[in-house]
Amino acid sequence: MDKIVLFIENLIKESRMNTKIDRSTSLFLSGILDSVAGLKLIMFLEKEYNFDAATIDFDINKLDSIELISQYTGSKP
Amino acid sequence: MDSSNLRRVSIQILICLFAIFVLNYVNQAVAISVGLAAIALIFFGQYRWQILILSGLLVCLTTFSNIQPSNKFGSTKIDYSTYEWGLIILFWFSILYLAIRYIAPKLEKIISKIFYPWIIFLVFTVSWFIVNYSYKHGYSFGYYIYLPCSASVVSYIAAFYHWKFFYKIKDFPKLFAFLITPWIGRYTFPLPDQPQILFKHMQDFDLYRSHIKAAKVFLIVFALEVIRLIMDATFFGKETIILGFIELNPTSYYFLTIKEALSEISRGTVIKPLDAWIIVILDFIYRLVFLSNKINALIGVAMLFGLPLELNTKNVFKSRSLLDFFGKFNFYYKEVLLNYFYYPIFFRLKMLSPGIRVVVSAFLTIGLANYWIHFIWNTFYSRGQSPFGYLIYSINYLIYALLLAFILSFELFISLKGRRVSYPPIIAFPICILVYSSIRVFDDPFLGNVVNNLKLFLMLFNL
Repeated sequence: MDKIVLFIENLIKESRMNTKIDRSTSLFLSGILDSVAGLKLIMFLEKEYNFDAATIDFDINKLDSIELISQYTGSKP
Repeated sequence: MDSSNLRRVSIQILICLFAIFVLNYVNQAVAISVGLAAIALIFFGQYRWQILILSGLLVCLTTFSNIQPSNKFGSTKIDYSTYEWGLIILFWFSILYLAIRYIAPKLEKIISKIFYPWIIFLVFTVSWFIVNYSYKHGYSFGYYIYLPCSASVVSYIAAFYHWKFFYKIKDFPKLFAFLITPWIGRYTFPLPDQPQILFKHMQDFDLYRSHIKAAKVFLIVFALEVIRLIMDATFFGKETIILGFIELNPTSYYFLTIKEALSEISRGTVIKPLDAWIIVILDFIYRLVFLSNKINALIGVAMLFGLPLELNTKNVFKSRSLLDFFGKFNFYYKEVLLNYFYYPIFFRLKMLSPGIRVVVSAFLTIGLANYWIHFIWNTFYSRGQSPFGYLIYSINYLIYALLLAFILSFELFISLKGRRVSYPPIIAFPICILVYSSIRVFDDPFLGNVVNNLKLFLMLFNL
């Protein structure tokens, strides 16, 4: 999970936002991260966690916080 | 709600709709004056949902039924263009809610399948045939019967896709009943001290916040609508603006719209690059304001119902890149493209390298899916043409979609390569305006043939 947190913090740095986040901070709905960052996150999760979201009900908002990501990927926060 | 309440709600909605039609033909001055009075009452603390709903309706009316009393051809007839999209969708949204609330759980799986990314192509295509057919043969039944059936509405309903399972919203039936029928019991939550003092009768804090937000949205929409009308008068030859009791006669510079420019070009006129840039930039900004108002007013109405929706056009001035602008300009459309096309395509292209995968998905989504959706929903232009005829007719939109796809895919690609694509808004926003204005030449299937669009595009660069 530390890897995910680190990766997200890097994404936030790249987006030049000076925002501190916690486990429940909204990442995409709040506009902290954009859709490009979303893609990077998905590719990261695919690589690291064998993540597969090719399902009917997938929505990037299901990965909207560290807490939700950990639920979705099955990793421990 | 029991069946008698349901009946009462339905009757009230019908009465409301009838009132809207009647109001639509009442003098604009009355509508605007009442609207302003409603806003004043809100600010003086006489906060009641009825007033907010009234102001919402009036904003819709004044926004979409305006005020183009004369044009440069000398006509002095007041031309009320009636686009009560917000109201019509609100109406159908309410009816839809009433209709499906008992069978919704069973419909959920079917709805999911309808939104399944590949099937959506089929649904749009079938809807195009249905709408085209009904337009050709059913127009005499009335514009307002046709309109809610139109595939065009699909694009506006897209704003609500977050709430496609809205019957699951906590206490929605109660909220809905409260909004429609004030005498049904409500309000169970105490408010913090301050709002309670100001608005003693209003005790549902979420709803209260939603209503306040809606009032702000309506004010912004109203202000932007005034700007749009001033643009109309100043740049596009609408010589007189009537705002309530005020009549303005600004000096008009008579810039051509893109449509008029294309018409001039078809007659052999050559437009200088500077003039061409002014035409496309003004046309684009006008469209930006128009689209923003049309959909944000509708979202304001949804906020009156307590739906916590984001605005469709928000903070475009703060755009940091072309992609960022695309999302801020038309948020829900971007969301639909992302969730129903981009991600599903992206997840199915695992065999490709990351960079190519991103670009191919973006190109298929922004280029082909974007074109296909427009091809399907621009039924106003089709008017009984064959699909093949319409395909030829809208070929300029295909060019637009492919140009947009090329630009955005390229930006996405270099962004993934770690290059900088994000800049401070003061640099990025003017660039966005220039880029989007220039490709706007091909946007929407304007009348005329694509050669004229190409000529105008080349004239921008003195070619």
